[in-house]
Amino acid sequence: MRYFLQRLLQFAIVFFLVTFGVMVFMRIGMNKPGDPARTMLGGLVPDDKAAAVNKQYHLNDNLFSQYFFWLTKMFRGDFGISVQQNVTVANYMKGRVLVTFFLGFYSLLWALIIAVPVAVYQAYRRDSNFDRAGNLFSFLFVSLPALVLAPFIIQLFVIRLGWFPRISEKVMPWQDLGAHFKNFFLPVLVLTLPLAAIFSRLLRADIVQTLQSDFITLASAKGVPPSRVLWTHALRNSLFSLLSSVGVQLGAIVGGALVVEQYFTMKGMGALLLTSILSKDLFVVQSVTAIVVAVVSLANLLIDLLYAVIDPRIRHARALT
Amino acid sequence: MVRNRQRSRNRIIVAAVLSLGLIAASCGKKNDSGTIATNATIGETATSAATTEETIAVDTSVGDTTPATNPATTTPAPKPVPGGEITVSGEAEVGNAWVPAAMQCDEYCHERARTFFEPIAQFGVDNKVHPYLAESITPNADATQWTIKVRPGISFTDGTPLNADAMIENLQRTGTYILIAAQVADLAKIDDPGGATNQDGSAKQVLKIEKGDDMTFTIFTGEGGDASKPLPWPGFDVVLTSQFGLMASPTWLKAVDTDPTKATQPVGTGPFIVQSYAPHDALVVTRNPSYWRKDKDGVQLPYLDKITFKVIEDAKTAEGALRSGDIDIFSESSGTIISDFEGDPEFPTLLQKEFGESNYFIIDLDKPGPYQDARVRCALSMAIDRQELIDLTQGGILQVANGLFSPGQEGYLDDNGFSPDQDIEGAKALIADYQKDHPGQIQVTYGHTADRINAQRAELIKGYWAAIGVDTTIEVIPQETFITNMLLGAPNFFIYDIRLHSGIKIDQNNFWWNSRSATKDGEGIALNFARIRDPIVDSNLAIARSDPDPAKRQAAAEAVNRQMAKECYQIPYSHTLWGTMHKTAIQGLGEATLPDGTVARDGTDFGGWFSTSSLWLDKG
Repeated sequence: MRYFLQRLLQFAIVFFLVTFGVMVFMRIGMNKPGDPARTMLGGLVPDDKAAAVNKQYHLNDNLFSQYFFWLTKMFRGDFGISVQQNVTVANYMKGRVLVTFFLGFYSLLWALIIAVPVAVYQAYRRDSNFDRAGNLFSFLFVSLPALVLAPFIIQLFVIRLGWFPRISEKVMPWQDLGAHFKNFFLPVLVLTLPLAAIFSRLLRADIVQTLQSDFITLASAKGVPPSRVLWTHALRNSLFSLLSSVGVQLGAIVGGALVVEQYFTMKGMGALLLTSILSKDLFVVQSVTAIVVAVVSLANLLIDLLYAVIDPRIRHARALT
Repeated sequence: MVRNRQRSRNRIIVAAVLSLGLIAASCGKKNDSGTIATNATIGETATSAATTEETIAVDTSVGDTTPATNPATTTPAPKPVPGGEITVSGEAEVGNAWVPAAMQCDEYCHERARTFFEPIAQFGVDNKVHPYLAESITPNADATQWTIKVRPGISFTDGTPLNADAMIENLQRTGTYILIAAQVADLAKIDDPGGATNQDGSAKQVLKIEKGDDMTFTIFTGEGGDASKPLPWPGFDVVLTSQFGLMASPTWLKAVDTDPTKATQPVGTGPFIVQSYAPHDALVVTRNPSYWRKDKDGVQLPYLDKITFKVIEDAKTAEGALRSGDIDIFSESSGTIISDFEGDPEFPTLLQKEFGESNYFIIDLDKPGPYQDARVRCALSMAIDRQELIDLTQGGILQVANGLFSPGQEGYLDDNGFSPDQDIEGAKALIADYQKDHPGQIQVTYGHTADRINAQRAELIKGYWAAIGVDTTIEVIPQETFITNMLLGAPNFFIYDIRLHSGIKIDQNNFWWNSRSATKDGEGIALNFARIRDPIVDSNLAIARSDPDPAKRQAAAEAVNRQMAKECYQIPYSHTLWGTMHKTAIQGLGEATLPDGTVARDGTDFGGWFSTSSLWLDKG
């Protein structure tokens, strides 16, 4: 419990630093009274309207007051309004959250589905042709970030082969499952391949090391079948690096989603964040950032808790502290 | 649209195609012998429209498209079939949607807005203003008062009747709002009869509009807004075709006053009703079942059930989206993209070659240093190889521009005194002369929006200017802030790559160049982005607005052209060619008619926009 509270406190600190930092950075260059509202409104507003927006959102107060005002409203579910687009930020984000969620979820899922068996088999058949080929491909895809991979994928599968749409619609699974997968396939592929490469390299190295451990030798000597040794004993004890990496990569997935959404014209949170930063749509930027920080931080907290599930020694140690 | 009125000409000049091709070939342009296949309906009027299957060659000189095959093999025009839905894409999201007074409207904004809003008047292919929501628009003898009679029997889609009160409410809101006020600065202003005041307690100024009866009202002109100085304004009706003339439901406008988020659910009289709007994503409009117009055969307009408008900022992506079937139609002014569709029978292209914008580099004349010196400005302009720029970044199919007046526009001149040919030595001499007075390296900053073609152009420009010893910093400007930066004279607005000034009459561009709308950088909003303050330009703009003699207005427009060229206030490089690329199933493009039966001219005010009320799907 204490550990959980510690992590929760860490989360709160990170959340404050990031969201407050974003607010401060977005205000740079808007020092004159009234400027934030005028900037958000696109400049083309009479003074009385700019003044009204300033007053409504306390934009002329000091930064801490502004932050507190925004935070309390956000916790009540009021993310504010995109005054440039005349929509509430909640409505602006609606529909986009799921796009980025599915992008991230599928990418992570498929990266693990690909990486785990490949890494296990590579480790089992260490220095075989399969292992060497696996290493080559994982090195290749680690070296190909979304920024580079996306144009190649588009050129091949969209322009040359014409198998997939050029712009990926945000079709949800409950609307049309087939169209959903067709629209999400390429963006997910772009995010999945580098992720799978990273995961498989990490996991392979860990399993290779684990397979040299005494307890593995003992298990084999006791007649435990090789598949059980591999999948139960070796894999379970090699998952820590992978789990840590998953946590770290969550942030990278958000960054990757931003790139992928641009390439595939997907209307997700990444695209929204980019558009909003460029157009200085303050409340949208703050809200999107807050959500991303919250999701990534909480996911990492979850992963930390998973360590204890995987390894009883950690659970026991935490219980003692 | 070009094709609406070119069929007869096409028949006459079939024989000229070969010679045009030869002339073009001798110029060595990339797409000189290329063809753009179309199967769209072409007709002098809507009633004589007939479908043809013809190939249109794009000559590199300005003029109309020319058939490369015998156009005599026409087939009877198929009847429009109601039903179906299409997806359209455009390059930018509108800022501050959708209240007519406040929306920062570009071509794609008009494309969408005119599905649910309609104007008081609209241009026909005869280049004349025709009443649309008005039944008549009548000036007095000296054109200082304009009486508008509202077309009867029209309601907004929320049931609010369209009458004189509704129109006056719209005109007052738009005409006094900060965005459009400069455009109608010569309309008379008076103290608000209702006693409304500004924040400082002064009386709020409103347009002088007198209501006659429920369906009639009169607008008064006044020089610089002065009601005591009526100003003859023979071309005032042109303003009613623009954003100023778009009519929204007063009931909805009042609702937006109390809840700004209602602005995303606009209500007009148009052929479509807004179903949903997600900024930077999609606007979905559905057929207005009680729309007030029918076609010439008595079929209820519009034909389409639904249109989805998407925002695809990158032109290459839009091209890919059309080819992969994700969208059905899009307009684009990039010569590179248009030329990509040359000769492609799967995706016909409809061209708008006249009255379009000019592509140019706008200079903020308020910025200190070299920007304020005509020698530097002219040197920067002379250093550019315009044809190379067009060949490399615009598909080679655009016409070199010597000024901001595009072919067909009032004031256009083949020779306005500025030679668009590259002259590096002449430019170096001007720079050297400037440096005698201002020693040191000349540095300029050039901004463009985030588009790969714009980025390529920026690199070329940097190279041209480096060749005359000018150091250039390139800045990428977000689309959303691009216009605002120019309006406010932002600190990072020095030289921008823009496309502006479409229209038929110079009066449509008055506020862009008039010193009245040239508020200094940082002191407010200036529609005169370049901050041109030139008495010669001003006086000729005044003549072009007020003189009753069309010949004198024409001469004044030409004088403005010459003066701006002489001072190198801008650096023009090409005239815009708009192409609307679409699937062959899309029919009726460029065939929309006005209520009086005249075929509407698409693309006026903003090149590239096309009427959606006449579109239908050939499901065969």
